[in-house]
Amino acid sequence: MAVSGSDFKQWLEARGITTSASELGRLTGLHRVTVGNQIRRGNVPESTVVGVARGVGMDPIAALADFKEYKDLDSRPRSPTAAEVLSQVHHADLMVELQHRFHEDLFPRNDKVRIDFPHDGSHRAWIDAIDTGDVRHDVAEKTGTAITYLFNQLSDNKLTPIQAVTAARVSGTSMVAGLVVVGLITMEEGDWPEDIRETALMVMKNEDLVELIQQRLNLLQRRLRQRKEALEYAEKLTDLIG
Amino acid sequence: MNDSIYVISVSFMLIFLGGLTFHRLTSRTTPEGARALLRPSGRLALMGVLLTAAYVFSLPGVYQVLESIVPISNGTDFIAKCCAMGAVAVLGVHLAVAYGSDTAINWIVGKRGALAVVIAALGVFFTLLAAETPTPSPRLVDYADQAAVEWNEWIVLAYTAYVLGPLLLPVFRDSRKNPLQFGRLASRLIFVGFVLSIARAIAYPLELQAGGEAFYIFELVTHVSTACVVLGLWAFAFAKSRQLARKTFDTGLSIK
Repeated sequence: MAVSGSDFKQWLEARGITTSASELGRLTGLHRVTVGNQIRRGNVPESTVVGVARGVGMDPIAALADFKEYKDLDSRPRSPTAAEVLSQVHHADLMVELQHRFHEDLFPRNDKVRIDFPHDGSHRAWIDAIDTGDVRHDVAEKTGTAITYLFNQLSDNKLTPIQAVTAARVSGTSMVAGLVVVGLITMEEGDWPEDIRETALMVMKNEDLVELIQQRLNLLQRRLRQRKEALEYAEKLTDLIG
Repeated sequence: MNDSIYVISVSFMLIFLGGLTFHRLTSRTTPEGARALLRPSGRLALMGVLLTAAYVFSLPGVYQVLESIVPISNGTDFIAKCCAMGAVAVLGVHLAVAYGSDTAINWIVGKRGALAVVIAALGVFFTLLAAETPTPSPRLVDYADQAAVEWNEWIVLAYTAYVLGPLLLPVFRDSRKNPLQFGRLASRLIFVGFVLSIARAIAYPLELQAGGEAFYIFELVTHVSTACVVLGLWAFAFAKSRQLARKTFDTGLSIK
């Protein structure tokens, strides 16, 4: 889902930004034909809006909030919860922290969390972190997505901006955080301090850290099993038929 | 015009089938050449040989030469049809075993399958004998208005539908659930090919009503369906040789 072409044009005019495809291409770094096609087809991705906003020096969040789908985007505090922040820490970094807590001389703490997000499984981890009950079904219903397709998107780390904002909306958490998690806006644009992940990791209680690692390892185990089954099926069939 | 369409499509099929069959028999993974036919994975090569032979025998020049050898008039058409049905039977066995479909195995493999192919071959033979076909005519096109020739043609189509029918469901299922995108595409191609072949058998009364002129158009449907199936099989072979499954579903933990 994206913003409509007519809304995008109106927004450009209201903000006094050029509607020329080549100029928009220059601002966003996209090819002018691509931008032209997006407008003509009436389906302008949020990344184009953000690109234009960045190009003209405007706050991307304020730009997105001009569209009806995102009008309440900045109506809640922007800062994420600790669980949301920790969801964006890879389990390898979580385990480094665990090792450090076992023996700080043998396993010195990293100054920085090493693995950036989005990483494999980070969208699913974020949804799990904000889930208060049935967030997946709510998102599927409100965005008109088939629930199985949403599960696939989460497995493939392909949550869309509108799905992320909808998930945050129904969970009562920061909607801006959702856009940071899906990578539409940067941590800086979302008002996340640079060391937010390191800080959240350091202050985490031992039992919470172990529980989080356990959850992540369970997910990893399931994922590996699924991949192994898929590999066996596909390999068997290609071997037999090919 | 119709003749041109036929010659072009048959030539294309010959190049396509012959090329892929030759490649399979001579590829580095099967250096034993024709002996590959004896192995389970050689079934596809056998299918390619039979199908190519069926097309070659139907070429007017080859047909005329063979007609001077065979003891009965238009016996070459019988041989070509037996080759085509043999190819379908081999394909059916190959896919029934590969997809592991019990229904397909019950109908296509073993005594029931053998009986079906024997009955179909006898049917084709006796209808040829029953027809009045004094001069050579590939695909018996010149005698298409005779009831025996109509039956002759329909038996081949019906046997094809008999073999492909039980495979429709397993192929369709795989085209939806195969975790490998390329595998899904391959199964979809095979499925489309099967649907076209079965549709031609079911729509045979329409073909008869449409008259002799429409024969080549319906024949084109068979060529398209064959091309779809062969392309699908090639896609599986490609996925196997490139180890696409292993590359796609890497179970390593590295995130580099």
